[in-house]
Amino acid sequence: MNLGIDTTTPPLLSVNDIGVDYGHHVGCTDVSFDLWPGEVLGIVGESGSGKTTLLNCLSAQLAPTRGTITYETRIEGARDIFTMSESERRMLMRTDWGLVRQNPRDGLRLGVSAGANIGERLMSVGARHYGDIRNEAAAWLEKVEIDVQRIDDIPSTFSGGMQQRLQIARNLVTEPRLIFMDEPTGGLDVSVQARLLDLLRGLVTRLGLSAIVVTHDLAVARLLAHRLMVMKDGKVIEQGLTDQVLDDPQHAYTQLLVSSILQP
Amino acid sequence: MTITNKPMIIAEDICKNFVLHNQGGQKIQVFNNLNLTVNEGECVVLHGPSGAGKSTLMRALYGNYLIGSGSIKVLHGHDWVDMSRAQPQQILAVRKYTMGYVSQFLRAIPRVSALDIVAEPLITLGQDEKLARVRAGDLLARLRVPQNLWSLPPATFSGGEQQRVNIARGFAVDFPILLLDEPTASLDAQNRKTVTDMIMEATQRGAAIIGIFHDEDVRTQVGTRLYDIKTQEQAA
Repeated sequence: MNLGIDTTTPPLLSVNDIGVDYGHHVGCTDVSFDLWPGEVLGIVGESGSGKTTLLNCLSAQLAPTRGTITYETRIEGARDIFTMSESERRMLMRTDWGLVRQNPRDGLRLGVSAGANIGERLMSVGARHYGDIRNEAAAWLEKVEIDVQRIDDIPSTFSGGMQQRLQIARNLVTEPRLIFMDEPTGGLDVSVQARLLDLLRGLVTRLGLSAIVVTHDLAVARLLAHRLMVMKDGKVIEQGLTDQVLDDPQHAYTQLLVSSILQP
Repeated sequence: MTITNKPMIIAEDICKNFVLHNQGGQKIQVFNNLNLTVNEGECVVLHGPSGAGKSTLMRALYGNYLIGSGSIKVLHGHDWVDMSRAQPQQILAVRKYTMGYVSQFLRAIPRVSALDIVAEPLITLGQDEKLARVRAGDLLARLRVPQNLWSLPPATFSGGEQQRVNIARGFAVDFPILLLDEPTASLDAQNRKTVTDMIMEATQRGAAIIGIFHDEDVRTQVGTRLYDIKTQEQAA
């Protein structure tokens, strides 16, 4: 992985004491961290620990009950993502950010071709030349190891693994600086998982992307993340360097999580 | 190059306990108040019975294990970084440029070929990918990993082959500091000889090495000093 993380520059994303309440129930609370360019942060924890709530907040899909999230924009420097106008936020999500959902069918347009799924994002940032868009889409299909012959097929004819790779291509085509991933390998066969992980690792390194990856799979976290946050009951109970947290966990819950992995 | 008095790594008064919260909070004391300084060009051999904490000490030096108290200072470029207090980004930078680690077992990455596993630390440093693979191939050839295996992921390799891929990866970059956890454990005599040669070449170029070697021959050949964990502790 690209480990050239320079913490003397401003962080790309700065999260300050955020929390989300669902009525009386706490979705997540007291979360603070900085993410630097080129850094991959893993968020692990069991279902219900608040990791998806947190990701939805970080990716501006859900306004937090308290706290602030600032993003270092290309032109205007650090901006609070929830005080931006709706159109500014939408532009950010289309250009600088990517969001890879667990279920590719939520992140793709199923009624249009694979090529159009990729091209659509390019067009939303102003690309107009049909030939260029098609060439770019073909190049991305190749990068995510989908046969270019399938460019005019609709994603519902693709396997789950192919759909997930197409979703990644759709997200990365505009060269975002920050990508959010929610269980990117969930629901895939292990062989397909391995292929996807290898692909993601390569892309993150080559493009120098920052990423926030939510997963309950500690092996996925070890392979992709530089840094880990472990969540339980909506709180971050432990965080640090990925291999340190996994190999020398300090908190009772993390110890339980690590010792519960089945060895094949 | 001979041993100089230039310290590369200084561990002071370090303590390590494991607290097993799911076993009734049982506390396992591994070591207490250890002190260790390793200079440029030195190969310090960690000594002590199984369970004395040799591997734990190595992992603490690498920032893989936390320590309870004390400090572990590593000369990173011109700065001293305390591995016990450094931010994750700093620890990763130390591992990228300054400190290499050969673990007992290779952690194979699915779908990544042996050649790429060895070349990866060089590519991470920004070296040209082609040149990095040439260097990786040289190392694999020197360690007698058959060329027809280079393009395969090492998950299906024999224990000895995996260990040699691991060693090649650890030696791909000329790190100023190297940690070697039983690198010769599953090797035959010929390959053991190659690895001892590689270790001696590293100390000659000035690397500071800390190693665990169960093989008596290897220990006497490469070691410039023995560090006994248990006597250290009693003295403290």
